[in-house]
Amino acid sequence: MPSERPEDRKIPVRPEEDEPVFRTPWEARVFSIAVHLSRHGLFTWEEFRQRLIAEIARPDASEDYYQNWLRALEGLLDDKGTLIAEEIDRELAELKANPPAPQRHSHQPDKPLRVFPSSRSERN
Amino acid sequence: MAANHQAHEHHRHDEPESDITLRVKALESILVSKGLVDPQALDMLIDTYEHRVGPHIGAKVVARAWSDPAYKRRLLEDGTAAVNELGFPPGPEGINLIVLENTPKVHNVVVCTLCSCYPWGTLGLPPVWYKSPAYRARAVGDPRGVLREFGTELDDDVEIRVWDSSAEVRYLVLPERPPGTERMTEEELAGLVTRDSMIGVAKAKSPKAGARKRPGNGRAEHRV
Repeated sequence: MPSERPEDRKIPVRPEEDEPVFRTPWEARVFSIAVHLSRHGLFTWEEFRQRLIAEIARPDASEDYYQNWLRALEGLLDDKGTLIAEEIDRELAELKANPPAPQRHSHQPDKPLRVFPSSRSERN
Repeated sequence: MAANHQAHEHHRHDEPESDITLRVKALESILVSKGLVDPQALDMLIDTYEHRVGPHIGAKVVARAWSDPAYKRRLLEDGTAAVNELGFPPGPEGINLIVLENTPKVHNVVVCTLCSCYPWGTLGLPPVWYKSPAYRARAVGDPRGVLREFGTELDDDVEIRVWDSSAEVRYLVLPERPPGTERMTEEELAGLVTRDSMIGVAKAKSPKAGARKRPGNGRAEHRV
């Protein structure tokens, strides 16, 4: 059945020009984890799909599609006994205590990134 | 006010971007430590869907069908086999692909009312609007209105058929070949076939519109 939320019937569909495949790196990661695990037989794609449908149908579903995707994946892994919610919470606490090193991207702070010389002759 | 309140509730589950980034990192790192996930395999999957698989594949299929009547027959009979025949593997979900032909009197539109089922092998991953509650509800309730939002006006005598993707079946729309394209090569034709025309919310580009990006030579842009 289509979504029954009456407000959905009034919202225009907003196509977006040149939309990226993934909007953020985490979307790409969570997408690929689900596909990878189903390809390796941890669950069938249909099992995942049913979970996703249930998440999307919740009245408090996220408008961000991949947040629903993440919750579906976590729920399914929990059901399968692969990973329990506490494990994620523990790992999360650890990551928060020791945040991953920022991507290597060092600058010399006293130098501009790039200099485009003036096309006019120097005044002084 | 109650309705407003509800609309607000709607968002309560959203987590800030930084939290969710960390949460996904935590999930991945646990799965890696359990030996269930290989980060390099994830990189490859992401690369596939960001760079290799996308609507350019569907466009080649459509252009071949427009140019080769025997191929078109095979495509309409067995979409999965005909796409395979061009060297494109079916989507990772190993799904049955059904190709729906648009005609002057019948226009097909594809939706997934429950989630986001989509022909990954020929179109890549779906755009955000395809997954939105608005599209999922309104494609079924008010397809003409939705098409209008995409700038697609259909005559009143055109029948609209809305197809709901499922676990077993994915659909690809074979749009009508635009007039004035009789002398175009298959490659040029592929340049007229947009993603939206293969979902059925738009028609294929006309050769004039396709040529806009290449001023001067009067030929359709065929970078796909």
